[in-house]
Amino acid sequence: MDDGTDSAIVRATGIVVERGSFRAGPVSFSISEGEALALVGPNGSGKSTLLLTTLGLLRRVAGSLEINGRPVSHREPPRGVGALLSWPGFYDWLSGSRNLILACEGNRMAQGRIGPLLDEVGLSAAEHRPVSTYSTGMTKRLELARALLFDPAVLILDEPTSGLDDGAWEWLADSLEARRSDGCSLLVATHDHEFVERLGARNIRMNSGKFEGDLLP
Amino acid sequence: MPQKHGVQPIESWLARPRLEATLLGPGWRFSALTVMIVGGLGGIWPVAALGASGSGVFAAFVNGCTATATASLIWLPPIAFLCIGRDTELGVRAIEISLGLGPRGLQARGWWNLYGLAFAAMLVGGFAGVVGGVVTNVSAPGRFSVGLVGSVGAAQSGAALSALIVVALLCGSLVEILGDRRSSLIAIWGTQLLTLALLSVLYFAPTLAFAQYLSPWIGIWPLRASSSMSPLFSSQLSYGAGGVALAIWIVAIRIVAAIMTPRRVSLPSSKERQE
Amino acid sequence: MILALREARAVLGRRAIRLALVVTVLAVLIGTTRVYSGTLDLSPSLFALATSDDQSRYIALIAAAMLGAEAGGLWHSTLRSSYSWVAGSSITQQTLQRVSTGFVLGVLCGIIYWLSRVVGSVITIIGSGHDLVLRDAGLVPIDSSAVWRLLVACGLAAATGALIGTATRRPLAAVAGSFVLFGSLLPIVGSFAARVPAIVSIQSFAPGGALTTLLESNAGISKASGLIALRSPRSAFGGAAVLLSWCAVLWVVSTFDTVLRSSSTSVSSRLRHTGLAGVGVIVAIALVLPPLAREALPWHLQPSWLEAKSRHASSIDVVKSFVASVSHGRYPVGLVPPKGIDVSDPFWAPLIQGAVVIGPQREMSSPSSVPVVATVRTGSRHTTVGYSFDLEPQGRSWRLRKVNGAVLRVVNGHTG
Repeated sequence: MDDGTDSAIVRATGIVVERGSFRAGPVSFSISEGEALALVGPNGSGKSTLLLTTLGLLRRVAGSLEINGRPVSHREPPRGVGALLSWPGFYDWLSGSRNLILACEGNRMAQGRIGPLLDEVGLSAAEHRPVSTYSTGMTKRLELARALLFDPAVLILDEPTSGLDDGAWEWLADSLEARRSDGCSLLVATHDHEFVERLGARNIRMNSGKFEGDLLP
Repeated sequence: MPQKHGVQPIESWLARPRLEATLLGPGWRFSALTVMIVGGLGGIWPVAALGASGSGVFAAFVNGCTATATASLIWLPPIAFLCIGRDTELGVRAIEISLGLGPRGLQARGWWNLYGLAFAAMLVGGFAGVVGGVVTNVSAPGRFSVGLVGSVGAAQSGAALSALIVVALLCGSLVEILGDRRSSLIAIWGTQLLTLALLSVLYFAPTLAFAQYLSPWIGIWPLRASSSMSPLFSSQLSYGAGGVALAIWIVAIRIVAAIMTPRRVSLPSSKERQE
Repeated sequence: MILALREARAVLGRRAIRLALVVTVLAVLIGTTRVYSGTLDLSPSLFALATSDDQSRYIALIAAAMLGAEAGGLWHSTLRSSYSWVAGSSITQQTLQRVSTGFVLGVLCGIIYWLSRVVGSVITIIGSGHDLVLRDAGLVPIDSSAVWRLLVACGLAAATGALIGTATRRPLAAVAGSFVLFGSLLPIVGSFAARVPAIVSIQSFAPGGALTTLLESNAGISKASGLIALRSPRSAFGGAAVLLSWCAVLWVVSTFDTVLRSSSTSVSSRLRHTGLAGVGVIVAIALVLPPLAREALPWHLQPSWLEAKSRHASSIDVVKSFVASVSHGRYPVGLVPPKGIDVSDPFWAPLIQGAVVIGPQREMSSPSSVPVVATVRTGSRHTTVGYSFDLEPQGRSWRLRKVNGAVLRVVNGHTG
């Protein structure tokens, strides 16, 4: 289902993805600048699969996808995107800051934002500790710092609130709201309805790999 | 009388889910393929390298089993980790203990699985030997038979079986001591490589023979100077001296394992927690 | 380059990697410290000792390949690849980064190797009572270019290992795969190759063999192993072509799939696939190896010889029978042409009077020539006479053609 917005930052049309025996789609959606879209639904409904396909991490069997005006596929990585996935993807024997330095160098980006970002996520005191010693909340903060490292136009988040206590939950919601007010678009897969309401996101309910009902305005 | 609370006793230690959980962990494919290739080579070897004009089907089975057991130093360590160490590394052991299964029972189950899989792998190697032997009779036609013509002797088969039992004991114990997968495998394979390096030096420096006792593997080292085709990489210890060294090593390692195992934290690593 | 260095440093920070490097250094030290060898009568120069030609450099190459494989597999197993993708790095760019990181790790491994050798050499020189003054004596070093050539070789081995890691995406599988593909460099394989020369040809097509062929042009694995006299005919160009082919295949496999693998197969299908793969490998080996190996077997392992031995009709058995007849003063019927010999001829006396040793097989260069040694004791004098029995095949047995004899030595008095 496409709302037909011309200024869409993310535009997905008729996406179908197969993962083993599971099939999701066809689904269509778009997200405009500064907008938040939430994929909600029970476990196994295909939220994460759709999210990973949107990032080009999984191969889609049909449909087209554009982010920031550029096509995305399993051969074409997206540009201007930050992601927080359901796995940390750090070398846990290295410190938080060194992991971010590696992320910058791996993508040929300047490292100037690392210090301010670690300050912003509240990890400056622990930046030299190995990631293996971080708590779940600290790891999540470091993941968000990495997602924000390249000042993305779109943030794609998979179950961002899982494992967070109330304080960290509030902090994450505030951070994302601030980014959104700066014009950053959000695509979130979650079953945390309170978090969706807090972000003021459009809601798409998924079940068995398909959208249920119409998109809410 | 049925239990009112807690988990029911496990009906079969080799139930399919348990076997799948144990067998299909990291490294199983390496072990499975190695077992099959080594067993297959055992069936092929007499015709290919020893000049036998053909080998019997049962002989190929025996040779496959013997080759697989002899090469257990290579393929058994990952299986030892899957049976003895994996539950600990993933934190499964902690959960099962919290459900009421005793740590000693879990440990015994791990050893039961290890020996069960080790012998099953040896039989798989035997069948791979039959495949290799039958195909060899097609590619290099000779005297085809069904019996034991061309098989290794009972002494060699017995020695290989003993080696398999001891390798399982040593590998399982080292996994109990070291806990995590990489350290266990590096320690097991690394000490084997060091033994190889030492034996290569011994050929040129026989005075260093005493250093052989420093390797736990020397008692079951498959290459012996007395019977090997080349003195290089062969152990110069007699079977008696090697057996004594092996016994001392087993006792020492079991003592360390007995001390270390209760101390081993049965919680998942930080990486597992994050994943 | 800086990224490759930093990534290399990150990989080296892992406890298991450090443990593996310690094992490698110990193996190199054991292999190169010769304080116990008793062969250092002369004072060798430190350079000569550190760069002398021996087998330990293959430990460095194999360790480098395994290290690169771990680095390549680790990238995917920690799922860092997915975040790098999200940040805009394509699979091709990521694979290039893995290869360059692998190369740097390999060079570092080579440097560690040479440092270990220097340490081992210093221990050797001090331990054997020589001073460290550099003198030109003793061992012959491999040429000085070998130092940097080995560094490049380690880099290439680790880069190939990194490609294996990115192709398999599992560090353990990658490390095991690298060990198998580069393990052909181990001298122990060379000692097996002495028995089955076909292995040398197979080795040349494995990455490890191709790498040595490339770096030691026209010598190949057989020269490199130094244990056997076989020479591979392949040129440096051939080695490069083989290595590049491996890299190309691994590259295609590495970049073929998506960053995340989307297929999840069932337990039974995984078991079935692995079983079929194992059977396929065995059938392929059983079809190819035995015919090749059988032709290349040495004469004493040829089926015809073993079969003749089992029937007691080998050339050695014929000579034994001949000597037994002669020593009993009988004409050896059926073994020689009629009117061939006269047993009363003094030429045969040592066989009749002395202690006779026939063969043994390990001292024979061919089945058609059997050595016999007879030692005759006369008082305190021992006379050793050597015979050479030349035979020719006749049906399923052998027929005596010619016998040569000569006194080998005469010893007077008690020698013990």
